[in-house]
Amino acid sequence: MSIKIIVSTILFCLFVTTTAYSHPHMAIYASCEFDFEENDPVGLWVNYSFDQYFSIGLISEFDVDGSGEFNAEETDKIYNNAFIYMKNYGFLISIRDKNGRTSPEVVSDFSVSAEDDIITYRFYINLKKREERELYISVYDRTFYCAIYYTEETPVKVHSEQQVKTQYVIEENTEYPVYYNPFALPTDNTTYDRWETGLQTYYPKEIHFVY
Amino acid sequence: MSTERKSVLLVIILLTLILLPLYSNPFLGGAGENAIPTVRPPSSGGFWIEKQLEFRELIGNRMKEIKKSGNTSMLWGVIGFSFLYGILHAAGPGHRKTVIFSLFLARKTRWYEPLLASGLSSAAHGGTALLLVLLFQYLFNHILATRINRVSIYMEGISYMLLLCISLFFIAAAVREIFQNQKVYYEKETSRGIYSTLLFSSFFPCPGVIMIMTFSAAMEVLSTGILAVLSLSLGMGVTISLAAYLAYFGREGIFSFLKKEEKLIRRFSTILELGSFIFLFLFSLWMAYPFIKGLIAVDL
Repeated sequence: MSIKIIVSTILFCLFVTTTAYSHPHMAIYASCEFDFEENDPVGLWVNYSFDQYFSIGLISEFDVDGSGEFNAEETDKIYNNAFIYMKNYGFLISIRDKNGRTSPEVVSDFSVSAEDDIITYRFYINLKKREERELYISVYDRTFYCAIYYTEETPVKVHSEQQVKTQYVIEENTEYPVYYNPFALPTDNTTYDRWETGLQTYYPKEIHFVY
Repeated sequence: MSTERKSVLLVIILLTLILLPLYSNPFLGGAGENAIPTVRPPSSGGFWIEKQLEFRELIGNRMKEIKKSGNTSMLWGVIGFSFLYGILHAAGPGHRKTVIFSLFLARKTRWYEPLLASGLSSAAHGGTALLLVLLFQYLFNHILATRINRVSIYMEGISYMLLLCISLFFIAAAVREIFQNQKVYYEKETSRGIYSTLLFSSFFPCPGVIMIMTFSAAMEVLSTGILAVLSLSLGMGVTISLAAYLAYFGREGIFSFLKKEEKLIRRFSTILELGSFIFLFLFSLWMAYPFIKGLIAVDL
């Protein structure tokens, strides 16, 4: 009997160290829209819709006049207190091409909307011109504070004045994972292309966009 | 120090923390601020995310229904789903399972003490969040998610630093007892240090409780939120007590296995106590390290 207890104790230690990591505090539902000019994507609109808990927190704090909408002043306050800080986390966006991964340092045209007490952020990222006619976009939070999902209905859209032929697929990338240093300072968002001792691995779900 | 002075001191500490530029939520922070130090983030998302989020949505939907129609029969749903959410939520990091496991492996205690200690730990963890939200509601008459987030992350970092100091103290005490040949714990029941350690180390707000409390405050169903938190804390207590009882029975099992070997049992008791506290120290250091490192690097 006592042996069983010892074994169960050891198993529990393993349980604690392996499963104690299911802990997102908020959910984000992401979608993106490619902005085309002359057959090339020049920018990306990103939409983040939040769960009702985070949404109600934002509404409660920033919709000061209780109108259910955010005027310019309220939007400015959200931008400064509950959006732009995300730049420390690369806006949770990663763009991968043949040169590797990058995260945007600057975004523009931020707006915020509320519908049925659900808040959506929308912002724009400039895309550089690429020789290859494909790129990979992923939205992830390596700190696992946010559980991020792509919206089920039209996670990817295309805006173009001309007819463009595009296709996309969303799948978990197991061949080109993100390696990051858990010991790094919170200001350090460096990701590595190769695993080294001490680095942790993350498999992002990527939108593989071909045009 | 009188209770009144302690309360005033607590309020001053909390208000001071509000002013510090600390966040963990990747959204909540000011323009031009660098990312702030946090304790170690988890290394994977785990497999209970969907269920947790599902339960949380169900709680939220029922609270909305109570607010909308005043249908109090929804309250049972809130209580039930909060309990289940608490069980799953405490399976995640930051709920002192490792701490309680180490403590009950180190000490021989009475059979009901793992339950008591787990209850205390989850009550402190959930209660801190409850009080924090109520304090903000009282002081500002408004939910300030950004500021609550600042305080929470700072308190979590401080709690791990406290745990680091406490475990170091326990190690020193255990080593001193070894040299003074006072090692008799394997046969003496003692809860020395267990409750105070858990109280100090659990005194930081549970993010799950904060979410529910801010939600209920915003929906103006605060009393429903408080009931949900009580049920959630009970659920967390169940999961935490699992860790405590596994350590308790594990220890009992080891000593019953060795009961005829007095010399061995004496030696093993020493190793187990010292080993548990060293483990606790290393665990706290592992968790607090990014926070401490970040704290030194950030210009406050």
